[in-house]
Amino acid sequence: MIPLLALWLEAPFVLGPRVDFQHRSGGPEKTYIVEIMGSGVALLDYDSDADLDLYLVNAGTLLPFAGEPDRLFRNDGALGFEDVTREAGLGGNDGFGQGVAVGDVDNDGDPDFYVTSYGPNALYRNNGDGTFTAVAAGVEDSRWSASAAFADADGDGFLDLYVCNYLDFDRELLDRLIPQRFCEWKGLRVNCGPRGFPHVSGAFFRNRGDATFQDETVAAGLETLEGYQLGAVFSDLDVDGDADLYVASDSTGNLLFVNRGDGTFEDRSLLSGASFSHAGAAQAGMGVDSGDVNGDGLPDLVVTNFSDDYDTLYLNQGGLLFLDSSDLLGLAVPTLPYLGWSVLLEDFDADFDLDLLKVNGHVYPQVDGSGAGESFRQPMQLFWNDEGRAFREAEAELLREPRAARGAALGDLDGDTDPDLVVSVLDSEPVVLVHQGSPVVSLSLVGRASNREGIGAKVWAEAKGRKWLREIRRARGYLSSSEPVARFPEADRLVIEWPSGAREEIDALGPGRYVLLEGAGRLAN
Amino acid sequence: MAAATILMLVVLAQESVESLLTRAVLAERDGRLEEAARSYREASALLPQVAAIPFNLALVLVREGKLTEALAEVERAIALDPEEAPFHLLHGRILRALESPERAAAAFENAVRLAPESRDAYFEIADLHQSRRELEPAAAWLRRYHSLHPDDIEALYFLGTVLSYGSETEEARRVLGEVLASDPGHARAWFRKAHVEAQKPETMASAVEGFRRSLELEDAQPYVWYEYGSLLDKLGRSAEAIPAFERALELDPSLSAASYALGNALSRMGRTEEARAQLERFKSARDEEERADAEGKRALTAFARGRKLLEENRLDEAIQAFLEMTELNPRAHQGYAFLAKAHFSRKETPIAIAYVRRAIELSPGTAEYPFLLSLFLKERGDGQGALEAISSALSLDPENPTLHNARGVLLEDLGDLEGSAAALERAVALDSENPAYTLNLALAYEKLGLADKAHASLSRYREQLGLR
Repeated sequence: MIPLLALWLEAPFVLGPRVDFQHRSGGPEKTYIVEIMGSGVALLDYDSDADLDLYLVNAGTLLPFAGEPDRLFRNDGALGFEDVTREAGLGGNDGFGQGVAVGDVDNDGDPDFYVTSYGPNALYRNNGDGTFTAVAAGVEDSRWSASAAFADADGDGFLDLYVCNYLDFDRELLDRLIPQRFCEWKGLRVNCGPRGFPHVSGAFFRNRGDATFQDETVAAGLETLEGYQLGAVFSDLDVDGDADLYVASDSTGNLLFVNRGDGTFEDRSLLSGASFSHAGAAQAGMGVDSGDVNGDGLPDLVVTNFSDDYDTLYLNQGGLLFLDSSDLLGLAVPTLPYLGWSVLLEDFDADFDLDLLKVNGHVYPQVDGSGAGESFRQPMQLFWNDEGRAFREAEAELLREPRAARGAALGDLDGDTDPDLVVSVLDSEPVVLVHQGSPVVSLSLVGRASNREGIGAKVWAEAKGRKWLREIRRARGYLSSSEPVARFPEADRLVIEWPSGAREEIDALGPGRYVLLEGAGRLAN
Repeated sequence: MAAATILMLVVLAQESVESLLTRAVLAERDGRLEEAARSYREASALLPQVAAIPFNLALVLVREGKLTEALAEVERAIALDPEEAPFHLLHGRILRALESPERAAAAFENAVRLAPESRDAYFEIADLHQSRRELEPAAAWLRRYHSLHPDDIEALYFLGTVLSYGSETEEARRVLGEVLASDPGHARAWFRKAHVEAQKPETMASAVEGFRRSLELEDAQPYVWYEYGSLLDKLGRSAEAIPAFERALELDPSLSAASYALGNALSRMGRTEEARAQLERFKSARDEEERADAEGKRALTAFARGRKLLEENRLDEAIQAFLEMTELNPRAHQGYAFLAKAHFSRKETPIAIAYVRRAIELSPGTAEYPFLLSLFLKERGDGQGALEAISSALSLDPENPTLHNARGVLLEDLGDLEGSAAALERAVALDSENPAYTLNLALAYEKLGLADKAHASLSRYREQLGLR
């Protein structure tokens, strides 16, 4: 007999409140590749009132070119979301928005954020009074950018920024080269790309320590024209105390850059085994996350890909060597039919190991009714991790509703410690899913020698005779930014390794929200 | 007309058809497809009610790659006799090749209806659905055939293969297991079953055994060696995987999956330098493939654009497009040939000659290019050079009436009237329906003083033009 608890766990979410936001990205035909990428979502406590607010990026139209304004929604503490865009002085970023990365770039204790666009990107600094100011801080990349991620790459205590640039899209040139404006895929007339478009390099901006940045892409060894970059995650992949960078690339090999310890990087993509599928094929990397899925203390990598291809789980073998273990862990077959975007590794059932949630949606509306055996709107998928041995897809009815989902961010929206979810949906409203689990340990960090949010810190929880690893990060998935906390069901002992190199130990913890101030040696509730 | 006269004409027609059909069959057998098609056409004109003739003509036209014409002929055959399953089968195959899958499926269904025991139609329709990833209907057709022929192991194997591509992997395993129970020596079935099993953790051990059995039965399967190694590698048995990858690459050095997997396995075994070298080889080969692929596609796009511009007489832009094509793919002889045509249209004959010579260098077996050269040289007044070029074209395509006609006209210009007449006679013999050839021949006869022949040819010419 299946235990009642197991049945309940199959559906850990309930549908949350509606958010009055309508995403718009081009026309229904999706004539151009720019129109299909969707936009991201960020969870951040912008007004320091101890609950997570919501920033939703919007895109716009290409013909005529007009951006739709982004929106900031304030959480009233009871899962009510009020549009405070104007009051926050944002006016609604009206570029053709794509992604959002949150980070406290000036270490002043409140979150700033960076919006990427098809067009100029923008950094918004939090004034500390519930308002923001758009600042020219040296990060105004005007290429077509996708995900972005903050991390203290050079260990100076300030967050640096990596920006994925997708490709060089010139609509007028495309119209001249392909006057009919479509390419063929499975006999359907669909938008063209990314193959055939020129590559552009990602960008790395080093924080000078005064909340201004300097483009050091070349000096840091991160300039490359190898990929169509979409997703990025900083993670200490070789467990040597610094932030390495992994980039999911569409239709090209994924990129792995190992940090030399000083914020300069070496390209180890090819040698790592995490660039291509096991068969040496470049997949269509979209979203990405990092996390120790098999409990060996090494961060593994997961990347979502196109339909008719599987999502790839690279198990970290140590020594910066990865093995595509997607089928070994039962992830290959069930992900094959879907085109994946955001992917998040999180312990959704409070059993310590990291489960996997991904959101899906096709890029060609033309698949609907075409007989291609696919649909434009697709279900989300949740996979339970069976102690690192295999993933099993959950029978969660709520997730089965088809959507053209793109971004996703995790955070405790209702203050009950467990991870709720906000999903951005192409040309639609976002979806809020409220987690219905039992309370867990939710640990936030406040850095002093380290960056203020402790981004990049490793938190080890000792429980049940084993050690469980979490890394503090915001940028995960695709175009989105989550709450930077470490979650465990409980812990007999916690070991925190700060980006500064400091190490702290905390005694047994039960469920609840905690804050650790670097060097204080004790927790605050 | 009296009945006896009509009967006599039919008998005469049948005798003539018999010889035409004999000629067609012999020509088809010897690969002289144009001649075969011509004979079938003539036969069909004499006996238009016989469906088998357009059907055979369609088969020849398919071999010639003239699919649209083949389609018209097979449809004529079907109109004459709609109950012949092979006609519908061929109809479906042509439609599929012409990328009309829905109509092809309907044609195959007709073939099944008319010959429900025949394997070909079921296989065709299943294959068509499978190629479109319509796996359920593909499997349904194969199941239907299997119910009629439960002993046909290849059909069962096909069904297992189709199922293995979809979500019914357990059913695929069961069906392939049935194949192997009937024929344990079926190497492909061992492989296919193992391929399915390798995708799930709980059946991976069985997959290892399946790959091994497949390779015992048939060693020279590079992809099976690769998959076998790949599974061992995933199971942490890199040391055993390495020789499997090496064997795969020995059998097929271009198998990039094995090349990459070998590099990674060497890495994991700590053989870092070997791994680095192997992965660099993989990367270079991959980059080269991608570059060639991308440039090939861009070159084709430029070519299509150039041809359209040429049709619109936008010569400067067409030249730019063909130059782009040859830049992207310097071995694209078609690009040089079209550059030659475009420059010739601009009266830049020396440039045209240079480009067509480059096309000839790159594709010495294409008769069209020396033919073009002969036209350009003739334009420049180099009759002898033009004659050499047209002779060269004819050596490549001796049955081409256009080339014989051009040679005849050229010889006439050069004063070789007898040679001219002979060449034009050959052109007319090869294509008796072309009024231009007939007229040229009439003029040649007249210059030779062969008034009767000239008169006959002229009459024929008038007939061809409907002037009689």
